[in-house]
Amino acid sequence: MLEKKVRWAAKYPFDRDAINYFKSVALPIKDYVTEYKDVIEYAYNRALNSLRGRINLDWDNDYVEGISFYLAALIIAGTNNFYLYKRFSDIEAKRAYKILQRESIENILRLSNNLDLNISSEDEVINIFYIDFIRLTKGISSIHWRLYNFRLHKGYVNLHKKAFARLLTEVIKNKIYDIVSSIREIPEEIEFYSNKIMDNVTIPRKEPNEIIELKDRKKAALFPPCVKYLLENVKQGLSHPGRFTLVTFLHRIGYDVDEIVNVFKVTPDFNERMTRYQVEHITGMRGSRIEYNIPSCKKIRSYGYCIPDEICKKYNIRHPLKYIKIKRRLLSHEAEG
Amino acid sequence: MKLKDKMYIIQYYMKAYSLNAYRIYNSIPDVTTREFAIINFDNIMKRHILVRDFNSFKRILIDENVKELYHSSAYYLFPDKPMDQKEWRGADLIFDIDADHIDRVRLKEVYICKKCGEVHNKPVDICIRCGGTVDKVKLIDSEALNQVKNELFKLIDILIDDFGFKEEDLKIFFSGHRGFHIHITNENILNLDGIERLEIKDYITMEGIDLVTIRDPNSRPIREIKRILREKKDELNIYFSPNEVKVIRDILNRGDINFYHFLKRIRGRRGFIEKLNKLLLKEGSVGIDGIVTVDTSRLIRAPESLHGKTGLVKSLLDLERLDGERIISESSPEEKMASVYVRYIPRLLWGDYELNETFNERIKVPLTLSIYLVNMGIAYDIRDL
Repeated sequence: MLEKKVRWAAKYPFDRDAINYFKSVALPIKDYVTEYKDVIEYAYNRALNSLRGRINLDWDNDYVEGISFYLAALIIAGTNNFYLYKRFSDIEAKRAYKILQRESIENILRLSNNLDLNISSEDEVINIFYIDFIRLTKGISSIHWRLYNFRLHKGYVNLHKKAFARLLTEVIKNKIYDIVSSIREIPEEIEFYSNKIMDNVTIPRKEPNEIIELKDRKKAALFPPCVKYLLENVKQGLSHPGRFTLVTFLHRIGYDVDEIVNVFKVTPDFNERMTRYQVEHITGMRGSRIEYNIPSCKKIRSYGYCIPDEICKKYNIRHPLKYIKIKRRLLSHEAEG
Repeated sequence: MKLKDKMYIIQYYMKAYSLNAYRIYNSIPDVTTREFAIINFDNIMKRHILVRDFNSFKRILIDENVKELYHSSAYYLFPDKPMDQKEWRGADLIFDIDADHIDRVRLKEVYICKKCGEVHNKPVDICIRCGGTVDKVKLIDSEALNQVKNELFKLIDILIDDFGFKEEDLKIFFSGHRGFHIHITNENILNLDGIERLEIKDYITMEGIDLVTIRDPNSRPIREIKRILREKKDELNIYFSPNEVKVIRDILNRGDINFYHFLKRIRGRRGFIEKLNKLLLKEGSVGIDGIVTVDTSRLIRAPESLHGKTGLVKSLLDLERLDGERIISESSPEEKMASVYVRYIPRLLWGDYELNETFNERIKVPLTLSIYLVNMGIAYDIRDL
């Protein structure tokens, strides 16, 4: 009985049963740092490996495996770096996904129940409320996870075990992130390891969308279909999100303010002073000095301007700039071939 | 529009709004948390209006010379503040079915000269009388509404069978012009953001669907494409090559599961798949105006208020008794007849009133129809009988 409990907790340390179990058996932190140093070292390596994208599915001791998750979470929380929180949650969730794939349907149901996800099941099919489905798949950009790809019946999306496990991974990711980010106090003994982590990982600086210089302005052939559509419709006047998308896009591919303002000259109610003012705002030359990024494909879709073409679909394009890169590559291949 | 007609129409709206004020006010849930907007008879829009109670509502209707009345689908803490300070607290889920978004619905058309007002019954490039430029004007009538109704039923089926809404969750309105609105005020959907609503919208419009990424043989798109192919069994050669037609006929003769696997098998033949995708989008989607569903701070026509073109009321419909004739009769604020001079009008069915094709003649028609025809620029000089 106990063995089973520990086994479960080792596999899914973030789950309600596991948390309760470890609450009752965990030692004071300082004991791990002094007496059971190998445990804290194990946890440190777990944290570091996670950040490097490495997953360990092969462990000797269930208790150490489980408790090391909490110690690793403490270490990560001590870095105070949201990027690392996220990275740790992503990889730890991936680890859980790997284990889940070999799990029985009963255990999958138990886990989702313990994570407060409301589901029901019938034979091998698991049913999840469509609102939960939509919220959980928001973080998955693959078009395979759009709602219309699934059977929806009376408000419930029908999923097979494997697909459901993938969805459950999103819940797990959020749960782990919550665990890490809700830790308020970091014991002194742990801070040493948090600092060591910071010394050993490189944190990417968050760059704005990379600027692609389209030297030859005639290369409008590289523009994604949404931008082409917007350009064609400037004459009729664009909605606010439409103008925003177009300005950020033109700015990022190297148009200067004058050139962008020129594009809008054909608008019915064109007012040069206002247009210039707005363009300068969006490109970060005025006001808040924020240089706004081009909206993602998902955003553009919600504005109603997404008219995906073959390339968008085939390469699962998620950002307009990515389209340019791919199209340029395709065109140069064509030229060579 | 002639001044005399304009004055007549203003009188008509004022009377209807003052008689209907209480009804409108009562049909809007959580009035005090909505942003209101009006369009007056100078076609100027005023928005960010807060309605505190019935008296302030009535004052707005009287003082502002209201032609059209809108409220936000959203609930706000401060409805009268600028957009970024309103503090959004959720929004109803709205669907807008408009004849203009449905290829299958054919509306009657007339062609009006912008310069001299001449109305032509056939498509012309320039006005036959004065050579001026010509506008195409599409006309709605009970027959057209009956066609749009099929689209409405399709949408209702999806909302009930697939999304699990109950019939009483759906408030179904005649939009007052070319279609229908469905309002859903259900707490599950109130807090969905635009991207989340997009999933619901795309499920209904099937926009962006690629049949090869579908994960379930029993999903709606697979059922739909099968239905469409069966229905069009004898005209497949319009859409597909002879070889493709043969493959499709072959697979249709086999069982259900086969079709899904068949799609998996032909996934490499992009041309073929694209033709199927296109056909699915054309015949299987429901023609809603997607942006209305996705936009979480949309202004929508207030229930029981009047449409600016038809003078008809956006009225709540009873699913059991839904037909084009009834919809127009029951959405008319006044039942009386009026006389009006018509330049040209094709045959129209307006409620239970049938109007034959008419050229340059003074005719007696229901008052609402006369308002509509004058607003559309194909008739003038309304008179009481």
